[in-house]
Formats: sequence, structure tokens, C-alpha cells
Amino acid sequence: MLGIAIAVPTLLQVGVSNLQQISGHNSAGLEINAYLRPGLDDAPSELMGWLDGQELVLQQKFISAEQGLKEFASLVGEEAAALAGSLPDNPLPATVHIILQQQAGMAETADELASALRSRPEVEAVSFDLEWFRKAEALVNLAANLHIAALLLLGSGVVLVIGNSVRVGIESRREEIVVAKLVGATHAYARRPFLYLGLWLGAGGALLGLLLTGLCLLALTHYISPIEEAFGTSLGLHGLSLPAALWVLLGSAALGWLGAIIACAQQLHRMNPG
Amino acid sequence: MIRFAAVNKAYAGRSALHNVSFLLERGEMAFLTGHSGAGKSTLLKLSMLIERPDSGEVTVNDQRLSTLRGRGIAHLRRNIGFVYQSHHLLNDRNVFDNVALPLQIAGFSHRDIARRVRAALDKVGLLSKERQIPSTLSGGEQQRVGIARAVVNKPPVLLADEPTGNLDPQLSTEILQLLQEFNNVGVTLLVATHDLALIAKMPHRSLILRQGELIAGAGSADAPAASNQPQDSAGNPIEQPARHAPASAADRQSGSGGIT
Ligand SMILES: Nc1ncnc2c1ncn2[C@@H]1O[C@H](COP(=O)(O)OP(=O)(O)O)[C@@H](O)[C@H]1O
Ligand SMILES: [Mg+2]
Repeated sequence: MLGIAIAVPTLLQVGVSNLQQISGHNSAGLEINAYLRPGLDDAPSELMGWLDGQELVLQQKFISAEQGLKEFASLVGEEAAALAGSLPDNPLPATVHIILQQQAGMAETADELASALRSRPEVEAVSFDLEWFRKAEALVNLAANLHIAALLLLGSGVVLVIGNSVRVGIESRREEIVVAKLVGATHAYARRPFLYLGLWLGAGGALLGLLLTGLCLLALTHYISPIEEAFGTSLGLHGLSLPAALWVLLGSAALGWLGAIIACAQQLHRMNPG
Repeated sequence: MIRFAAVNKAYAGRSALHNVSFLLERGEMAFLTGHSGAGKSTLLKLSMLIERPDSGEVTVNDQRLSTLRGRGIAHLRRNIGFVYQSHHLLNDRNVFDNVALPLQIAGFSHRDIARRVRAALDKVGLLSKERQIPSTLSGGEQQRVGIARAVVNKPPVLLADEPTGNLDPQLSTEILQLLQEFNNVGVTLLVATHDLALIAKMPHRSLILRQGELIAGAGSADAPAASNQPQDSAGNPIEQPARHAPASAADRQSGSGGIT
């Protein structure tokens, strides 16, 4: 029970960080196209430098009008391309293709970036789908919130489960506690062994939980690799890092300690001689 | 050393102690007697904050108990040895460890603990049984382990609640003589017992409770309830305790009918 209570949020954590990873790699749609004024056929170094300085910008690529036409041709087919080519002037503008970094609140910052781009002299027009940004952001936020909710729920579960074990431990040593209090034990003295009990239960539960997490990830990897092969891509599923595992261990031990403090506060005061 | 001033205590509306006042001087030894249910145990419990009075003030070792909380209670108890009828020994550890418990709690070093525990066990004549589990000992021996644990801390005050309750007369006398020896070296002692024959053998003041009221032996000026009892010695200075009065008072009392 304790192991599961710790394994579930840990797995969720791994899941969310993988999700963030995947959507981060594949930032389809999280991009801005800035169409430059006609006649600008070389990369406008001022604009490119400015973009370099933007925190939100992951990558930028200048596409000249000619390159644009070629890409257009490969997309729509030779005939239509020939048609376009038959025009006296290339109808396509040079473009700067900007890929953005995923981060919290990116919809708003991206919107600001787009406005700033629009007001630059080199830029004729900007294509940018704010709605899409909002959706992508909401999705990532939802996952993170779900994760926090699960963490809270299962964290309090750990506190309750350990608190209960400690309560049983206190009850089984009632006689000893009463006698100790009669001969001058303070509350702190009486509860010390139970705080350690809570700590060890928490740490032990964490080890069990980490073991379960590891097994689940192993199983997942087993099922995912054929999919990866079929698609010829690597989803790059990554497990739990060592620091993260240590956090789980520490956090769980702390929760155990907390559960023990609560159990002692409730139980030890009632164990008075008399 | 122990002072009760107009102390009242009721359990669920039923009075267990009513307006009890007395003074037990430093180094004094006294008996606390009365029928079962008269309030003897309650009085002792109030003296070490196992219970608190509804009104009135209890002072022990110059500390007003109403002012004590938490750690203060723990430290008060380190200065009071308590001997029970049902010795409250722990049978998951041997005699040595039982006696060592108060010292461990008070934070003594291993060496001091070993030295003091052996001294206390020697005093009660059980040094040879330190490795035994208490439940394997006889009743009298268990009571002596309880006494060793109560005195191992060298407390200035020793309280005993029916310390001879389960023992035959011979063993009872031995236990009482043992307690007397601690009093001889200056420990203030209050022994609750209904064993009147035992009390009669020793020249100490008796505080007599009847249905929660202290009817004799209050001892000092602030004990009005006792002063108008013709048969008691309460008016006497406590440094010269009279031995005849308590027995007669208790005799009278034993005829006075059952108390729950
Ligand atoms: N914990 C308690 N709850 C309710 N009543 C109690 C409790 N302890 C003692 N009493 C009552 O208080 C009175 C005095 O009891 P006690 O002090 O134990 O007397 P004694 O030790 O002289 O036999 C009795 O009527 C007893 O029933
Ligand atoms: Mg009693």
C-alpha cells in the first residue's frame, strides 16, 4: 500500500516530464512566420540578431524568396509551381521561420513577440496562431496540475498510512510509555522512537515505491520499443534520474516523520498514567 | 515539602477530595490512611500531577503545581519517587533495565547509570537478581524492585500507594522498614495504606481521609478541618509526631461504614 502510494506519483512525475519532453521536441505549430518586405533577399542581420536575443526563441531560419518558391513547388507539385514560376516576379516573400521554446505562460509572451515583430520595419506580416499556443499550454498545464493533485492526494495518503502504523506502534507500547511518563519522561522523549519509526517507514516505503516505478518503466519500455521501431523515431522515454529518486526518498521520509508527529500529538497525550 | 491548600477534586461530579489542606515538612514521614475510596490515591496523584485539582493549590518541592506544564511536569516527577501497589514493572526487560529507566530518561551516562542502579538494587537486597525478568520474582521482590526504581534518582520526596497491599504481614513490615531507611537519610515520605496494624507499629503522623475529607493529621496551622477533631494529634507540632492518635482515629473510622 505504502509502496503504491509512493510509486503512483513518482510514475506520474516521470510521465509528465516525458510528455513535456516529447511536446518540447515536437513543437509543431509553436512557431511564428514573419514575412519580410519585398526586395529583402538576404537575411536581415539586424532582425536575426534581435531574434537571437529573445529568450522565447528556440530556433530561427531565414528562407529567401527563391527557397520559398522551391519549397512551395515541392509541396504543391510541378505544374502549379510552373505556373507560379511563369509569373514575372516571384510572388513569395522572404520569410523568417521562428520556432519557440515551450514554457509556462508562453501564449502571452509569444503574442508579445509577434506584436513586436509586426512593428519592425523589415517585417511585412506575421502569421501566428495564438489559439494553438493557448491549447498547447493548457495541455501541459493540465498534466502538471494533475500531477500536483495526485502528489497532494497520495502524499496525504502516505502521512495517513504511516500515522496509522505509528499509532499501532504507540498502542502496543502503552505500558512502557505510561511508566516512562511516571518517572519523568517528557513528551519529546516519549515520542522520539516513534518519530524514527515514521522516518524509517517513509524511507522504506519510498524504496519499495521506487522499485515498483522501476519495474513499471521497464515494462513500458518493453512495449514502447516496437512502436518506436514502427515509426522509425525514438520517443526517448527516459526513466527517473538519481536526484529525482533521492527527492522521492527524502520527501517520503519527511512525510513519514510528519505522520508520526501527528500520531504522537494525538495519541501520546492521551497516554497518561492514572 | 508537600502542601495542600483547600484542594478539591471531583470525578464526573462526584467529589473525591473535599477542601483538603495539610503540610508535610521536609524530611518528615507520614501515613495516609482511610477506607478504600476515601481519596488516598487521588491525593497522591495530585501530588505528582497525574491529576489536577479542581480548585486549591498543591505545592511540592517548593513548586506550585498549577504553574507546571509539559517539561515542568516531567521534571517534577524526576524529583518524586513513586511506589505502587501494582509495581508497574516492565516485563520486556530485566530488573536492571527497569531500575535504570528513570536515569536513562534524565540523561545520565552509562557509567553513572550502572553505578546508581547497582547501589539502589544493593539497598533493596536484589543485586543478585539484576538479570532476571520482574515477573519471575516473588511479590515482595517485585515491590522492592519498584522501590529501587523509585529511589534510584535520589528524589527528595517518595510517595507510596499501598506498597504492602499484596504482601503478607512479615513482608509488609520489611517493606515499611526499607522505606523508613530512606526517611532516615532525609527523604520526605508519604505512604498511603489501609493497613492499620502496620501503621500502629511506627511512630509517624497519620493523615486520615474519610469520604474525601481530611479528618485527622493535617499537621499545620492552615489545616482547619483537623483541628476540631478531639481524638487526633493534629494540633501538635509535626516535629513531635504522636503515635497513639492515628490508630484510635482509624479504629473509629473503620466502624463508620462502607464507602464505595
Ligand atoms: N479515574 C477516576 N474516575 C472516576 N472516579 C474515580 C477515579 N479515580 C478515583 N475515583 C473515585 O474517587 C474516589 C476516591 O478514589 P481513590 O482516591 O482511588 O481512593 P483510595 O485510594 O483511598 O481507595 C472513589 O470514589 C473513586 O471511585
Ligand atoms: Mg487507592
